[in-house]
Amino acid sequence: MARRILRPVQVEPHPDGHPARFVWRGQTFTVQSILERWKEAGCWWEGEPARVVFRVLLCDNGGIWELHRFTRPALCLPGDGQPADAATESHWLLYGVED
Amino acid sequence: MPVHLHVHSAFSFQDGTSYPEGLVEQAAAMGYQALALTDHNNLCGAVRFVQAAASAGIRPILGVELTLECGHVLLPHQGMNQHAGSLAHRAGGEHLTLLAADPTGYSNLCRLISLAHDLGGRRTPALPRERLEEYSEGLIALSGCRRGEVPQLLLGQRPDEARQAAAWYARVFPGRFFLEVQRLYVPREQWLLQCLSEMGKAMGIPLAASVNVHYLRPSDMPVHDILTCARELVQVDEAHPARPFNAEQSLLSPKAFARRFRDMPQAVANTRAIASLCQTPALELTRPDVPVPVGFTGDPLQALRAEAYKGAARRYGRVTPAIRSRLEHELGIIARVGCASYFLVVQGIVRQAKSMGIRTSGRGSVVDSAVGHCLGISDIDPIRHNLLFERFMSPERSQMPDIDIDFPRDKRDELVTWVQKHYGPQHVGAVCTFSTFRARSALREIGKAMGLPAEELGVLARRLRAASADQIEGAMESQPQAVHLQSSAKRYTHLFEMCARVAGLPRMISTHLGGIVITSQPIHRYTPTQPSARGIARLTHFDKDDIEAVGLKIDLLSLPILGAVDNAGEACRYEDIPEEDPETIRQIRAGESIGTFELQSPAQRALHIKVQTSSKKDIIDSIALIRPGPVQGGMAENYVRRKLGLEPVTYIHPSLEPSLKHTYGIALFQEQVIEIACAAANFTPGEADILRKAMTSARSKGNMEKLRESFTAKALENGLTSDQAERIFTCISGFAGYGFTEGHARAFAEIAYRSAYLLRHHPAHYMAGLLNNQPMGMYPVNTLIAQARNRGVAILPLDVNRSQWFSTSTDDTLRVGLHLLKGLSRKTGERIAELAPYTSALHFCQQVRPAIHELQNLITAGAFESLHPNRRGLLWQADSLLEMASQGAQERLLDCTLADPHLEDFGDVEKMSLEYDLLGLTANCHLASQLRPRFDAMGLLTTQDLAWIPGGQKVRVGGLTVCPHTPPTRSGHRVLFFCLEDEFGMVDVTAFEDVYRASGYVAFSEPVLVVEGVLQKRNLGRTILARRVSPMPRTLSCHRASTPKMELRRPHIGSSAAR
Repeated sequence: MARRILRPVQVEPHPDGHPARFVWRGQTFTVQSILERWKEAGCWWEGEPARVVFRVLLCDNGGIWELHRFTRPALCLPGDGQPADAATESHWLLYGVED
Repeated sequence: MPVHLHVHSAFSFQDGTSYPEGLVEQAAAMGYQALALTDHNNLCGAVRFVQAAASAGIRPILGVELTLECGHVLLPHQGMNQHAGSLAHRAGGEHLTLLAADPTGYSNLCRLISLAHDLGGRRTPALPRERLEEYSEGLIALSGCRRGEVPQLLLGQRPDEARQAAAWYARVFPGRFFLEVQRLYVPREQWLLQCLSEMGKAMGIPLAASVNVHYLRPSDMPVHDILTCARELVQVDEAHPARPFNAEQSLLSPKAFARRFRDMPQAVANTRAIASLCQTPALELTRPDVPVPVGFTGDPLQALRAEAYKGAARRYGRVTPAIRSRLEHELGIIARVGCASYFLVVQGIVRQAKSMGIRTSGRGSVVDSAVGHCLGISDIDPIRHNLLFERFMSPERSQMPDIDIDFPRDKRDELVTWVQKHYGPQHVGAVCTFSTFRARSALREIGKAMGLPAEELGVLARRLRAASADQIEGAMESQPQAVHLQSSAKRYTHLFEMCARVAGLPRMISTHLGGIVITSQPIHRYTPTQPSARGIARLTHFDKDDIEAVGLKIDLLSLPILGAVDNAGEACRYEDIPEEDPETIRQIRAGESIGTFELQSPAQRALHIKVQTSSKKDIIDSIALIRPGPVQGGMAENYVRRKLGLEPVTYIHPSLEPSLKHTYGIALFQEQVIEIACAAANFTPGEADILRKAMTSARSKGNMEKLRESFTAKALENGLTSDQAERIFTCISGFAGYGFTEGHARAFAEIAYRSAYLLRHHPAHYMAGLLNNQPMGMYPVNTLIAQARNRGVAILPLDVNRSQWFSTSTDDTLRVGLHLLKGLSRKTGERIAELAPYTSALHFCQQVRPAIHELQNLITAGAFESLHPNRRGLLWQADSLLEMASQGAQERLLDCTLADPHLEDFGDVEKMSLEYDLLGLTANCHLASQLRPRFDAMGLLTTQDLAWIPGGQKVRVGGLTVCPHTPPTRSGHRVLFFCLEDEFGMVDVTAFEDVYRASGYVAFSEPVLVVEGVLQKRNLGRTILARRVSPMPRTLSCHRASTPKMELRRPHIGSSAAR
């Protein structure tokens, strides 16, 4: 990852949950393909939610970007009884861009 | 329906969060028809997994995730996740999933696991890959997780080698090798799955889907993560490749499983096919495998009968009809249970021990057996004492009986070695035990992983005694010494919650105290084995409950007191001790029994003072009385009152009188529970024992209600009223779980009495024996030394020219042995004793060549006092001494250097303090004598003064704190007991809950205390009922500044918790 952005971002997802396009600094970027995706638990001990990470290739030679989708509630501390993927809400983070 | 073929339980030791039973229960509830168990390099969960599966009605598939010697180390960027590439992690070896298709496969699995432990090292099992070829029959292999050889090579961009490896496995496991495809949503996974898929297609190797289960639910993932952190010694905010990436390794439902692999339906279908290959049960748990004694032919029962009658003639002289009738009764039951061989095997071991001069003592319910007595297994005569055989064995009980035998600690290993040699190493193993997370271990390990300071955790852990890890918060409330640390901050709350989640999970495998198993089939038919820490018998993977399902378990236990009494053997043979010596009984009655076996606790001493002990029978009763159950049930108080005639002896029903008369109408022994059930409800002895056992082990409300109903119904039939039946049931059910067997109490009482006799008449020899068998008993070495000194024994200090490795004694002296010195190896210690005498420290160094720390400790503890009185001066020269010794220097050189007039020696108090720190004792005088001027300045009394002060007076006494403890009480309140020791003796202190909470808790942290309270005197005993307990004021403690090691620091947890 050449440059970290770490900013919330508006994403328009596909019906299957993959990002289709997102808006960054007033400009719309369209996702050409998903290069890879994985899930991370996050810092559960700090109450951080789990996330799905997408490495995406943008159209028009827009480069490779990394988007994180957070799901709430977080995995959380023991005793909460919540399953990890009981997402009630999602938001997106533009993690960074590769050169 | 898919099948989970790669599943870790908590027996993967900090890499799994559920016991096999939990996994089976959940799998059955989800509708699975089969489930595999594949823990890391062990089959520790196998028996309970098979048993749980049988109950749940699903097919168990036994397997393992085996570690192979590492052949392919990845580069950092090629690992499994963003933190990957740690060479240390990779050095852990490659994984392979193996499943047993049939008993042959299971046996091979056991052999492979054992080999991995042998070849890879005790803590780092790893098998060279080629060894798989020898034992592949009956096994199904899956290529494993990402740490498998094939995935590793693919991830390392070495596809050709990956194909070669896959071909090798396919050749070794023809038609039984599968490429394992795991979908866990981690980086580079899709690419890897694609590679495996293509490889499978190209090479004709089928795929098998798995999710590498490590926990039941996704919400268990934090527990898995924190356990991994604790295992890998990293903190939660530190990266480590072994840590789970996400929460995707739970036990998926069949539907979720299929959905996760919807693009690979064949891989899912293959899991079913693999499960169908494992139709034959790999491990059958039908009947234990009892070996026949070596060299024995013929009918074991006939041989046992002959041995029993031969023994009876020896024991009783003449076999009367009563003896014959008892023996025949027992032999009949033994024949029906089918365990004649068991007795012969145990007899062989006891006989061998005796021929090796090793003292033995049967304990537990075997003491109730006349056959056992005649065979020499136990020395207590059950016929004379009317002990009930059915407590030991009955045809109604399905389990094999349990025979426990005690040996001196230092001799036990010799005997186990003999058993191994006699039956063959392939047939003998040590029973394992699993160390589980309890409050202390959980706080330390989980707390460290959560980033809390180790020092704070240590303080907290030390103060939470014997609590379960899920009761820490409760323990904090009930134990003031813990509450005093204001640890309610958020971080600690989280820690306690996490500790509760890991409570009871196994941390590691270790050796059971005494259990060994002997099998007639080779032991690898049942369990893998691994080298044990002690290096004697190989450790099996089954604990005491598991092992009973497969073989003959015998408990060969260490009882250090047997070694201690042997020590006094030259002065007085154990066998020659008179039956009931009045002076010994008087000593017990006076509560002067510190150092004896079983009779030395404050509660025991107080009881003997109260009941005015006058015979061995009182000792037997006391051993059964001072137990958590009887004390909490108030039996001890009732017993005392009834024995002293202060309350009448009554029975709920007259039919109970014969069984309860000798214990004043109170049920003290397990045999009495059986007799009561027989008398009151017409049970057979065997049925009554089953009832007793059910009350002990299945105490759920539902079970107890069922037992109550069945007991009451039978009692009513027998003519009792419902009120009587109810009261009797309440009485026996409250007691059943805690009581001793009378046979056991008698066996222990015999040793207790004899140890008291030796203490009374041969204190120097006996105390030396106690020192030589440490750790044992409840009192520290310094207290034993103080007791010996008060009994007129001259304590002689450590001396390189006079001390032996063990402590030695004459009739009135006790020489401290080198074994007590911290940091001194036995090898050096024995060399010191062998090469003595020495003319100087240099001569010593030239001869012995000790390590520097050994030399320093010897000097500091005063072992050179007779050669060089200036300890500090000699300590200063320690390095040079060793250097000169290696260069062959002459003694006069040393004399020059030691003559430095500026190097003043340690002060007397400092010397004692250092000696105490290194030896655990002060030989020349008691530490309190050095504090006496300060005690006098404060107007404190001595323990000797208490002899002439009348009871009921207020007193203030100072001394050393000994054995603070808060045992369970009848009221449920926490009561603190400890002893206050000074140079004249010892006094017991009791602090009730209010005093304990207000000030008494300091007894757990302060070495020197001042106690204010009321002196209570009863018969020959003295106790202070404390009103205030305070540490010795620092300003008055003259030596504090110069003895930092005596200080107990008290870190303040609250400050960190608030950060």
